[in-house]
Amino acid sequence: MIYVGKLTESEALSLQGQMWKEDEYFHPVLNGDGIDWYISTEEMEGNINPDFTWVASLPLIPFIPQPLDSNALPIPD
Amino acid sequence: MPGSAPISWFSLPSVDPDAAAFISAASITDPTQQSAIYQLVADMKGVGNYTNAVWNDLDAVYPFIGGNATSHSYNLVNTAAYQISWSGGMGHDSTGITGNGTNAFGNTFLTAETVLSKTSTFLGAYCGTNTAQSGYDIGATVGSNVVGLISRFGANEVYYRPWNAGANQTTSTDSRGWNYAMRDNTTQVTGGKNDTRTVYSTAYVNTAVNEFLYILAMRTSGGGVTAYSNKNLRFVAIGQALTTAQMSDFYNMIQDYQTTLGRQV
Repeated sequence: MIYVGKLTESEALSLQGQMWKEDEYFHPVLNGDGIDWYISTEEMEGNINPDFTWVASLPLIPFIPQPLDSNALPIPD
Repeated sequence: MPGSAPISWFSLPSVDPDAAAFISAASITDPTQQSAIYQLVADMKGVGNYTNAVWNDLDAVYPFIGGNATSHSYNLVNTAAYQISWSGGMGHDSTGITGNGTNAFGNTFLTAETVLSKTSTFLGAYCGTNTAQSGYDIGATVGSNVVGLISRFGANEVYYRPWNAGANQTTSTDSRGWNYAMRDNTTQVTGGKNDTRTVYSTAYVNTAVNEFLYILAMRTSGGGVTAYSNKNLRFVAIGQALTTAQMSDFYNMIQDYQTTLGRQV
């Protein structure tokens, strides 16, 4: 089981376009349940941006993969 | 200076400006890493240990030298073009880059439709881990068309998808090594691992893929992301079609580079 850091939608919006480390951007994603947003534990634990120290204490939730885009699976040759 | 041997200007080793530019941009100070880059560039230009140059055929080469997000972002063939922007929890260490399978990817800002050609495309990724997982090593898609590569998908398939809706899939139980997909005409795709290649009959799809190529994920229409990978990559190359001789030499150049860095598979 992979765990990720749970975000509210407003928290997710606040992280978009922001760096958590030099040359590395936060990437909030909607979890596969379609309800919760998340960032990875790598971002939570590695963040050095003082504006977002709160990400270190985000509650962990199970990662639920979004369905793959239909094009990711090939049409059989 | 008394007692010193005279220095001949002509005896000084030449410094390749492209290699030097990359080393400077990526702030590489380790002598072994610097040596690896100089040799790799010489080899790619056909003035090193191999005769079949590939330098002018490639638009973006990411050597993932072993370091941090900044050093891993630069394009060896042109440090001013296609610099990767990293998003999510990508790992960066001495082995290269490692995805997390949940939200990490690299945006090359290289638009498949405008930089590559539907009859001349090469995509290659040197994978350091053996993982069967539904993530793309390199990918972008629009409509049913895909420009992408997967070194090992969930059920042990390898997907070669340079401008095709199908995958030319073959079976592999080991994603490690140099995996690549190449299209040099409208009806066939060459898929390869290390120095072994197979030609598949698959027509190209003419749909424009006006999206950036992503690394360790697939970019979808309108800026979405799918198929995050958790693989470790140690080298990525994107460019025009290569000849068989070029592909063979290129594999050996990359293997030499990985060996110098002590991370060959």
